[in-house]
Amino acid sequence: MWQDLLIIMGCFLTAAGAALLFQVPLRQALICGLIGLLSGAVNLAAGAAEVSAVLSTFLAVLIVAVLSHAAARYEKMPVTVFLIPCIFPFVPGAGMFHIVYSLIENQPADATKYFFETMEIAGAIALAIFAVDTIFKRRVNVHTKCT
Amino acid sequence: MNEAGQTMQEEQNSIDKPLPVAQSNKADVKLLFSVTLLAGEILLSSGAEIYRIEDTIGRLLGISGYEGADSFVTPSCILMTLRDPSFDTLTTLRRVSVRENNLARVAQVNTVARALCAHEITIEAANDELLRIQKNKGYPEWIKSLLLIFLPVCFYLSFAGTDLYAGLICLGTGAWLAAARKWLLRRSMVRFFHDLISAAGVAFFASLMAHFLAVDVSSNLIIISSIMPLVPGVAITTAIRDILHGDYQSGTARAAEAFIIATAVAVGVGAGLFLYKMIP
Repeated sequence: MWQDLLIIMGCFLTAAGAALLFQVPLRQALICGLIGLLSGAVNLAAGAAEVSAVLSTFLAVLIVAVLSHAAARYEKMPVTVFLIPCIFPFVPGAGMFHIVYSLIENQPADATKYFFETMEIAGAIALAIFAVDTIFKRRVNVHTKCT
Repeated sequence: MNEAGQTMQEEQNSIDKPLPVAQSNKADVKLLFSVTLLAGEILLSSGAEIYRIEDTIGRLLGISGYEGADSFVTPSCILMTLRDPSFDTLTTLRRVSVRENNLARVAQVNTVARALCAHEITIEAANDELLRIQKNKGYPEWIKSLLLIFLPVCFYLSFAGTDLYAGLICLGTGAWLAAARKWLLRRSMVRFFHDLISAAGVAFFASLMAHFLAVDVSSNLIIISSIMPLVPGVAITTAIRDILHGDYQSGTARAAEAFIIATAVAVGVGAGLFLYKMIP
């Protein structure tokens, strides 16, 4: 139990830290941290339910995207401010490492396996952002004619 | 967005009233044009999405009330034009070479643009405000260094790491990341080699320290946690959103950027691990 708490605390700190690294103001950085905390909890619950890494990342990023859009409207700020720092912890850095590690250990079969897993996770992130952005999408190309 | 909708509504309502720029002379149009260019430049150099920049430029030029405005933005330049039968078409091209990630600037420019579109502030005030935003450096350097030192530990926690010594090694790799950012980037090194050397140092140092301190977990998790601050999270997110909004050129350009950064980090980790294996 306390280990789960540590993991969720880590999720809060990574999202908030990444936000501060990208110059997001303190208040919004804390909101980023909360979004990261919730998505980390979702990721953890999905992992406990023995869902695949791809699906649990998809669910977590889905939560991140929905909450980021909500926070952007609440704070009257662009979505990017919340989306970028909160996506950061889900970028498949582990997959990248395992690809290289397998190659160094001279096991190309493992490298191929990890390559496709990394690509699937990246695809899951893209799909989740696509889905939520489409729901929240506003009219574009309003600017071709001056009002 | 709701606010954008309201802005449009307000512009619709205020169409009977004389617009501040359209009724006055051409100098104001030039000022509006340069203010718009400045806003676009700040947005592009701060890492905003392309569709946001084009949208902002279109809305700002739109308040002039003239016939039409167009903009074409790529990750490295802004091309925008304002046309009306009453004057020669105004067109400009601005090349933007310095790019960093400063989301606070994106938010601030967005606020100014909204206020200007809603006629809450004058164009001169907007110009002053944008110049102030451009000069604002944000958090001081030492805070960024401190963040980089502690981020690997945070990532280590979030990846379910519990070992105390491993956490201490993460602090060490974080210090290396901060030092590399401070000393290597100062020499205007190519981003590729900066990422490569940072990742190589992390992998080498983490393997070595894990061996020395005889940490009972493998050094893999430490290395993964420590390269997370280097992964191309911004490029991936922006590429996805640009492609979704139909800006395929910018989207693929940013996807290529993400791929290059990922390659640099991967090659760096490989080099670091290889170096460690060379030690007898």
